[in-house]
Amino acid sequence: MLQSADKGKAGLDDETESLRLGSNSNLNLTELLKERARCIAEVKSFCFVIKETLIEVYGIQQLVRSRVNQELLENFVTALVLEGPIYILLYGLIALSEYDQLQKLGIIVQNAQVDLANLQVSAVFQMSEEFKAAVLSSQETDKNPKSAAIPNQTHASCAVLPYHMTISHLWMLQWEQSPIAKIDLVYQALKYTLASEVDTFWEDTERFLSHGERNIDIDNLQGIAIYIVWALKQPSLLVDCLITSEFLSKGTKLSTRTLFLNVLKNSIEFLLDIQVDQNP
Amino acid sequence: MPQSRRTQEGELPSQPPSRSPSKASDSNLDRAEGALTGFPLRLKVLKEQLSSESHPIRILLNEFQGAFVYTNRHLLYTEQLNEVDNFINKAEAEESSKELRKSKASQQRPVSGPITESTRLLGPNGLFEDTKDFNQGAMHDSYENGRVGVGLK
Repeated sequence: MLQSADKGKAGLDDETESLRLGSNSNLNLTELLKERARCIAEVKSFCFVIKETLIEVYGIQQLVRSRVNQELLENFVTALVLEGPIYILLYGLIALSEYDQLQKLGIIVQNAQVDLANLQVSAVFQMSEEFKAAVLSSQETDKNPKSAAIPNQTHASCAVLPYHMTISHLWMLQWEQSPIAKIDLVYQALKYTLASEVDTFWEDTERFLSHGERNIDIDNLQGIAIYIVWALKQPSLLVDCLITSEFLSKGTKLSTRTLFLNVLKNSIEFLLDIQVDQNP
Repeated sequence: MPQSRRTQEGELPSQPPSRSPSKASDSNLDRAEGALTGFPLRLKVLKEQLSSESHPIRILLNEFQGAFVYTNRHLLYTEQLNEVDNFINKAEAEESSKELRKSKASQQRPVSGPITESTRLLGPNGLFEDTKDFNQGAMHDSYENGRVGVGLK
């Protein structure tokens, strides 16, 4: 999609510069944003129509009085409507209207160097074999891993990329079309896959590193998420986050899952603030 | 805050995430499939019903999708637009082809029959130089591909 965006547009440095959309299109960025809002509103209206139709046709008025059922039905209908050509059109529209950010993010993930240590992530979560060895060597004398010496460039010696499983899991986000499936995938990746990777890494040191010490707090999670977004090297993640946010139901927005989506969005924003040389 | 080993209240149990992109959709419903009762079960049944192309609401959805993309086609990338155009043209061609085959079957009209006066008119008007071209090209094309009047020269 991003490649299509690259081909499909001439550049947005000048706001008045028109985009190569359809043969009859001559839209600038402002108009494009209006069109995006209109299209999203239309799709939401249609979702509402389908929801009401289903309620009437199947006579489930009593059932949907429950807020939970309302949410379930809403998410169900959104997943039904937001698929195939509509999803592709909206995805492309958001990608085009966010082209500046996508381009910038693409340059940052390619050129910037992001390190877990520099992100102030706790040494326990840096997946450093050296740190792990230090913990193991100090096991007899000191059972507190935090007192172990933290070598410089802690994860540089890792054979595999730290959090590669979580990265692979998040990579699949692009294949999901339903917003609820997207947010669920983000939740699963940042909650369970991430935790299982940390657990697997420290598996043989369980006696010396308690489960409490392996619990990931929000500060560490944010740092790890920034690293993961950088390591993913997929700027279209921004579009995935935006399209998901647009179509979430009220109840889902208040759920824990949204917290993980926000962590991801904040990570993207953090990366976008990094100044990098475009031609290093 | 997310505790890596704890399940949040009201959240799904800690099952391994689906590795298949296609299977991960609608995961809320699918994951708890075994324990579905009440309204979630009803939605599951509804989902299966709506997978049928002949379901009225599915038809409504498909019609909306088509109309939405068509009316907002100016927002598609040039490449996507071409794909949509090709798709529409192909669909139209297939449809007309089907209709033509039906009429052909009903009329039992021979493919290489005598050229009548009305069909001959297509010849000298630039599409075909002579009746031989018409006979070999246009007739074949019209019957086999359903595109009457398109020259094959």
